[in-house]
This record gives sequence, structure tokens and C-alpha cells, in this order.
Amino acid sequence: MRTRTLQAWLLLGLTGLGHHAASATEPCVHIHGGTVFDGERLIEDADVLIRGRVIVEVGAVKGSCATVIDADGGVITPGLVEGWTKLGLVEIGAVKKSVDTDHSAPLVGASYAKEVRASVDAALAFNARSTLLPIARTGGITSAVAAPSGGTISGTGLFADLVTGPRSDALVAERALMVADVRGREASRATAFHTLKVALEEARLRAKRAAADGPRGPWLTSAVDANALADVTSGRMPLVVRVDRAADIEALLSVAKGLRLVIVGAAEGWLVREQLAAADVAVIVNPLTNAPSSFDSLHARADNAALLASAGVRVILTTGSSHSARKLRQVAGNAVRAGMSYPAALRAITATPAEVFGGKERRGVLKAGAVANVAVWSADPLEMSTTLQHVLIGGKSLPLVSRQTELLKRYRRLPAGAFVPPPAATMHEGGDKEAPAAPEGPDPG
Amino acid sequence: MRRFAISCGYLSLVLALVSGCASTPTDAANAEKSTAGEAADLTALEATGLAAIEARPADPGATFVLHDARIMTANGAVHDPGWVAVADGLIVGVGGGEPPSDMGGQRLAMTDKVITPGIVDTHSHLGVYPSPSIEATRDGNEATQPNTAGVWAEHSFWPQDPGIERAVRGGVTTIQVLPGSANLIGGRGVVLTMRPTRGARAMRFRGAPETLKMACGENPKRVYGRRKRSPSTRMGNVRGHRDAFLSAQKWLSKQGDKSTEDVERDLANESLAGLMQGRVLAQVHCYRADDMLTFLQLAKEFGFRVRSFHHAVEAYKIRDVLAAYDVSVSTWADWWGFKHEAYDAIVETAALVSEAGGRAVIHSDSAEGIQRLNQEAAKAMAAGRSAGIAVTDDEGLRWITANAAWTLGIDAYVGTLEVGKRADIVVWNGDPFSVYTSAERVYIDGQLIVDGGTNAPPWSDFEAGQEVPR
Repeated sequence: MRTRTLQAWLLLGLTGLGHHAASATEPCVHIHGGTVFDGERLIEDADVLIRGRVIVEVGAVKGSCATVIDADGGVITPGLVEGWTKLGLVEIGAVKKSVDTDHSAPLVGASYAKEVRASVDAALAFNARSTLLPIARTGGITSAVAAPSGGTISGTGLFADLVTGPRSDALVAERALMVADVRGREASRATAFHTLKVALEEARLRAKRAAADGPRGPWLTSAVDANALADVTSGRMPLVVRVDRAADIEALLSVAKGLRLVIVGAAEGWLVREQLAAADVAVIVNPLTNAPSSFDSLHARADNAALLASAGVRVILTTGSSHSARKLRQVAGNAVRAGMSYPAALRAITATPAEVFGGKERRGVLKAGAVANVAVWSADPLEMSTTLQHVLIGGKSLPLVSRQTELLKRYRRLPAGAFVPPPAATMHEGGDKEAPAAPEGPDPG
Repeated sequence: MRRFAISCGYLSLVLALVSGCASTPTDAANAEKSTAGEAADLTALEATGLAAIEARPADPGATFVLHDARIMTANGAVHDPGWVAVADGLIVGVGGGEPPSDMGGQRLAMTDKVITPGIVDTHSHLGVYPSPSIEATRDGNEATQPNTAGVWAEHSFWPQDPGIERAVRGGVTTIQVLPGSANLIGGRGVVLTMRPTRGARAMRFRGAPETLKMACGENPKRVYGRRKRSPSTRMGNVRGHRDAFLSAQKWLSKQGDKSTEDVERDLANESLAGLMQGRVLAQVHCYRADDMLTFLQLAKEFGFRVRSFHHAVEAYKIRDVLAAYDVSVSTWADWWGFKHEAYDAIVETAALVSEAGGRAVIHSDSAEGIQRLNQEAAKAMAAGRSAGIAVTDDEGLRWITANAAWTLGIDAYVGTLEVGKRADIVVWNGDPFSVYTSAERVYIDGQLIVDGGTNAPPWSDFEAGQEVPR
């Protein structure tokens, strides 16, 4: 099963190469002299050659390019891929009008419609000029899934390169995944499974009816939602389901049989890892989830990702955060600390999420034909003392600046004469801290 | 060393509370009598509220020497290799090379290990917002009126929170548990030693001063504004704070001449009076630079000092002021953007505060983050260094040890590896600032409470009987 997936993926990769074949006239970038992680393994003392927007060669590269980036003995990885965020859909968490993740059902007022929003497309709300994108880039992240939330079926998410500017430059795949949620709720979770089953079943029946003289309504699922779900039932689009409890994962495996199922959360995934591996279900986990923070995750443990990976499950690691997406490498480092193999952890933040969500072109690998999303690090990218040196998206080097680096620049030196030192009486006992030098410049008083 | 001297200024008031913490009801009564007839002694009143039913576990102090390790003292010195000697729960020797032959007790070679002081977290909601997070256990915000200075986090604290064990396994030995920030004055915090007992009282850190949680900015005005109550604006916040202090001043002046037993008890005003008398440390939730300046103005008006601004993501903008006023900055390494007042956070804050001569602290405010404060400090160090700010490993370590201990007024007892301090010690299996490193042994008061992996039964009753086969 896994081999087949890999072959299919390789073919798609070749198609992508044909599409964007590198031509000798396109600008070339030579990243020189680092340890390369190509998406599977580490290659010491290697180079990466990029022409246009794709990688053309990895290894001992000869020849010369106009642009040479010296990796200086550091580590060259594919740009990191965050598999579960709201990037581009949120600016400030608590400012409601800047948050576009919970897409209420637009068309019908019925309670069923509140639960089933399959036709709502997060890509329409995606803002590639969000300040979060450059900040995520400073964590070496070049691509991400952005997913909606709410209801039992939340709508479709997208896969984007984190390029600031027009949406079309960033969006790699609109309608890249269908999101659903069957976690514990006020109504029974059986209700959630029921809603999911009905919607999927009606999508199938409607498709049949359209094709021939299939069953007729009335339907619970609106025509637009059923049409949207047809991509899921046909196996074109992955169904990504938020679920944590092992028992719920077991139920889901039966409800979603035959679909391209991806599970996100999976705090208790390790308990059902054999079944997940057998069903070839990719699992998105946060390796920092190690506490019984709800009754859905009583058996959460730090080595969840490690156990899943060694059982052969395709693992994607996530921070589960948008503002803190740059923590992805720290999160992966913690997965290694908890027992995941180093290449497996790197794959889980590069090749695997790109393979599951990234559409036709190859991303998340440093191999000939793949899109040149690259991060160059001073040393081991999972180590916190390591700094990001360069980041490239589609072969273009992007400056490591963000709203935060601009703020640092403003306040690296404080404005002179800004305040009057306090009288000694306001100090703590033993107030032996030296008062700063008398302020210069105009008296602020 | 100068910082040590500062904390000694607190010792006199700390000592009053030491007796309070350890006291029996009779002791408390005696303390009260001794002041009868003189001016009201609020400390004695406090002691009645602090009388203990459950005694702290009395452990015979082990005597041992950890040696052949890298010793990071958080006091400037790094000994590699070096040793730490412990007797009766206290550190009795620290040094480089081989321990002197007259150091008694068991010798434990910690080859390739790194030894640091136990981590102190200045901002935790463990026990008051425990796992599992359900309505039944959410006891952190008494969000029924904006001034609840009379509530104590200790009275919400659930010692069976599974997060406690996880935090200790991350090297945390002391925490300050705070009420939430829904209220202008949220109530008393409590400083706890991370050795769970059946009730919270016996976990109280011996000798820690009382603390009071206050909040400025978005949270109080949002919570009450939505209910069409004051405060609904920042100016409403400040009016609420000033009104509370005015009322406390009034109450205090009325009680001043009374004998202690005639004092008209008032829990909220006792907390605020404690603040104005310098017995209680102000722990203030505040994000924006201008909000912090406004709050310092308020503190000046009512004659109290701010011990620490918590979260303080814009502290970098006023780091000179905060250093001059000697207010510590309890912040995160990289949290930002979850609300408007957190929009200007940058990752260099701790390093910039240090560079300006201030006291930076990395806090968690999170049951997840508290398990990896060493990593959070490492990130903040790396951010500072890559911005060209010199930060030593020792300074980075102080962000989660010595500076945090100062913030809680307990730096005379913990926070560094120095002779005379309590033996709260972490043995790491590598560089504590590496993502791959774990705390292998954790000692509190010289007692080994974490020893290696996680095969032991869970500490929490909640997790007992929930185990499933791997």
C-alpha cells in the first residue's frame, strides 16, 4: 500500500517536472557545502543546484552559477512544511474580524447545515499579506496547510507557499483537504459520526443519481455541500478528521473506510497504531501533547509520534498553531527527544506533509524536479541554538525580515531622554541597582 | 551577590511568614496575643489564615555529594568538572574539580551530566486550571467582580493535577500559582514547593512572602465590558484599581490604632494593605509598554512597588524604566499575536532586558510550556545572540532560576547553587539548553523525587488505574 502511494507520488513528481522543466536560461542558484537532508536521508558535504523555481541537482555539483549561497558547513533542508495551521486565516486571535477560520454555514438555517459546511472554501479568505507569513518563514517554514474549523464538517482547507503578496503566488492547492471534527462535544459523539456518515452517504447517492437514475431526495445535505463532498467520496480529496480518543479513531476507521483519511490530533493514536498503519492513514500529531488535558486524551503520551512512526504510520508533526508555527523545529526536536528517529522527525515536517497535501508538484524534498523551497541552517535545525541563514521559496531567496525584526530595529536603541529616573524611595529594599545615567536630550516634563 | 543582599531586606518580613506557615493554631494565637494592645499587626492576622492542618512531610535529610559533572550555579560560576554537596536538605558545598575528602555522605558520579538549580516558574496555573480542563476543575478566575483581592489561589489548587508531575520531570521545583487575569485584582498567588501533599497548604514554600495578582489591559475590560459593567475601558481599569486602593487606605487608617484582635477583618483590604505595607509582592499581568507605565504611576500614587510585570511582551520598549524601578519582567520566549496587546512581542525581549541591567524571567503560563522552560530560555538566548546581544549561559539560566526566585522573594532560599541554599537541584543528561536534553534527576530539599524515566506509577490519583498497556 505504501509502496503504491510512493510510486504514484513519484509519477506525479515527474509530471510536475515536465510542467516546469528547468531551462538552462533560467537563473541558477548554487547552495554550497552543507549537510543535506533530501527528504529521506542525510548527505554530508553536498550542494544543491537550483534553476528557476526547481531543484536540478543535489550532491557534488560542478559548474558555476551567478548566485552562490555558502551553507558554510551548516545544514540544508527542504523548507519546513507545517501540516496544520490557520496561517493566512488569522491575524490576531482575539480580534474576531481578523479571524476567518470558523466558516458558518452560509446558505441554510437548519441545525444540520450548521454542522455540515463542506462547500465553504477557506482559500477565499486566505490572506497572503498576513504578518504571520514572514514570521513563520523566520522559523524556516516555507509551506503550510491552512484549515478551517467549526461544525462536524468544516469545509475545505488549502496548501500554500508562504510567499507574501498576491494570493495566487502563494496558493499551491485550493480545496486541498476536507476538514471534519468528531471529538467529544455536548451532543453525543455518535451524533457527530452520524452527521458525517449521512453527509458522505448522501454525497455518494447524489453522485449516482447524477450519473444515472439513482435515488431521489429529499436530502439532508444541500446540493452544494454534497457536490463538495463528492471529491472526498471519489478519493480525490483527503478527509482530515480531528479526533483524539483511541475509541473514536477506531469508529472513524470504519466510517471512513475507502476514503483518503488523515487524522489530526490523535493524542491516543499510539493505542491504535497497528490499525492506522494497516489502513495507511496519515496522522498529524503535536508531540508536546502529553497530558490528559481532556477526557478525549487520557492516554496522551510524549512518545506518541515515536510509537506511531515505528509502527509504520505516516506521521506529520505540527505545532497546531499559526502564530507559533515557527516552533515547528522545536516540536520536532522534542519528538526526537521522546524517541522518534531523527530522519523520521525531519520527514514529518518536510516530505510527508507535502506528499499528503501539496498537490501535483513535489515539495518537502531536495531532489531533482522538486520545487526549490529550501532552508539553510547554521547547524542542526532542530536545535534551538541553531539559526536560520537563508530561506528560498520557488528558488527565490527571501529576506529574513518580519514585523518583529522591524520592531527590534526601532527599539534596538532606546530614544534618548525618555524618562525621569525614580526617586530612591520607590526602590526595593537595599535598592542598590544603579540608576541609569541621567537622560540626555529635552526634558520630557 | 548584590542581588542576594536585596533579598535579605525581605528576610524580616519573610520570617514572620515562616512562622505563620509552619505554625499550629496555638502558635498563631500566641502571635496574635503578643501584639495585643499595640498597633494592629496584620501579619499576625494572616498567620491565623495560614495555620496548617497537614504538616509537610518530615524527611531525614540525606547526605551526599554529586560530582564529576558540569555545575552551572546560576551565580556566575561554572565548574567543569565540579561537585555539589548536600546535607539536611541544604547545599553544604559547591566547587570545581574533585570534592574535598572531608565532604561526607554518599558519592554519586554524574559523569557527562550537567547540574543546575531547580527551575522556578513565576507564572503557573497548575492546580487552578488543571488537567483535565473541564468546567468542574476550572478554578482560576473568580470573575464575578473586578476586585477579588480576598481570594487565594491556594484555595483553588488541586494537588492531584497531573501537570505537577510533568512539570517536575521538566526540572521545575518551585512555582507561583496565580489566579487568572479576568479581574483587576485577581487575588493572592501562592508559591509552592513541587512536592505534592494531600492539600495545597503543606506545599507552600517555607518562607515565601505573600503575593497578589493584578491585571491591566484587555482582559478585565473585556470580561466586565461585555456584561455592561465597569471596567469596559482602560481608563475604567485604572479607576477600578485606584478605587480599590483608596478603600484599602481608608480601611487601614481605621484599623491602625486598634489592637490586633479588634481589627475589622476584611480579606480584600488585608491583601491590598499588605501590598502597601510591603509584605505582599505585586505580580502584575500587563502586556503593553504604556499600560505598564500607567501601572507604575498607580503604584507610586499608593506607595507600593511592582515586583514583576507578567507577560510584559512590550517590556523591551521600556526596559530602561523597568531596570531603574527594579521590576522584573516575566515573559515568554516567543508567544505573540493571540490578542492585540500581544501583537508587538519580539523574541529578543529577555535578552534586551538583561542587557539593560534588568531582571528577565522566562515564565510558562502553560501546563505544556512549564515542562520545557529550559528550552524556552534557550530560544530566548539564541534570539538575543543572533541579534548581537551578548548573553552568557549563566545569564540565560538565571532567567528560569535566580531571577525567578527574586521575583517571588525567595532568592535567599533557592535559585542558585550556593552554600546555605536549599538543595533544589536538577541533574540533566546533557546541555540543559539543548532540545534533546531531559532532566534525569530532580532533588527538592535534598530529596530525590525524580529518578530517571517514567515507569513509576503516576503521582496523580486522577491517573491511577487509567494506565493502558503499551
